[in-house]
Amino acid sequence: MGFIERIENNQKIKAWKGNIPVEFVYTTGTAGEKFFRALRDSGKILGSTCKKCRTTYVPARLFCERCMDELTEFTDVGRVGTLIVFTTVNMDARGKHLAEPRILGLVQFENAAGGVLHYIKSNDNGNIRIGAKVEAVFEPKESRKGLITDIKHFRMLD
Amino acid sequence: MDWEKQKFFGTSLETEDFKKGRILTVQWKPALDYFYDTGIAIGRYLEGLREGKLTGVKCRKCRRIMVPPRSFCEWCFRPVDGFVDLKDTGVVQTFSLCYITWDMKRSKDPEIPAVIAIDGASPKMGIMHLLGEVNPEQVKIEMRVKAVWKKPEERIGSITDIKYFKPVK
Repeated sequence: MGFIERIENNQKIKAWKGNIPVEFVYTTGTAGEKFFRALRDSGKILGSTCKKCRTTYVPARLFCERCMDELTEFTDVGRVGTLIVFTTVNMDARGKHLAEPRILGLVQFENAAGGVLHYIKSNDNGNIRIGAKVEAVFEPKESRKGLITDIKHFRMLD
Repeated sequence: MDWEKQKFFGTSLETEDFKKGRILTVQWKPALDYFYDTGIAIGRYLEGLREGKLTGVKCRKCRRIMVPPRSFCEWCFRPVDGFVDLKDTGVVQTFSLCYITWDMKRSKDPEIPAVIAIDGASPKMGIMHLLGEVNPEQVKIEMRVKAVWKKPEERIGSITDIKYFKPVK
């Protein structure tokens, strides 16, 4: 017979549908705990500074990747940073078109390594450029949850 | 090794710490939907289950009737020669009394997975399913069983369209 089958009824079973139920609970870690608590409770963006090489890392982390030294000094880097790079996103993670395109950008802070990847809000005139100063806009204190989305977005300053 | 006394680096966390929100966490649930093509043989098998019957395939060379269906005979390495309807009765080949659920919880009543040789197929050709309506102590190898089906309107074309197999005299 050599199994070749013509599709005469399209209601017959041809595929199996399934779903893999996977859920993650990711702990923020010792330094992450400090970073997100500062974000939630006092609206501060924390970095951690190395005593040896004086590098400040944002977001705060536990060890210096240059000296392999433990980081115990935490510094507030302020709300204003520099937009290093940005991109415009038109689709969500599942490929659906967004009603309004969103801008994602990397914000670096003065004298600090690393940075924060976040939504960027352009000026009223739609102006956005690399190297511009941007400021973090926080959610009201009551609705902060200790997540990076406690920062609503970064807005352009100039 | 005495794990209680063993000291580990890092921060140890208890379930309570998560439940009471003493620590900060990020939660994420990826959407992992999938579809896979059943192929002709299994497609026909699932279609049969929806109609309330078990389907097998036959090979003319080795004269076996195989279940679940497959598109080629693995003994003769040639395409099979067609579909056969089988009975929904059979004989228990092997079984297990399972007191732990799939997510590792203790259960009082055991689940009884069993391999059931289906009547109409070649000897010892069978499928794996559950046994029900039976006292766990009375399950035996060589016990005759019959499928208990879901109602026709509840069947979706899945192996779970058979609820379980129950003993028959």
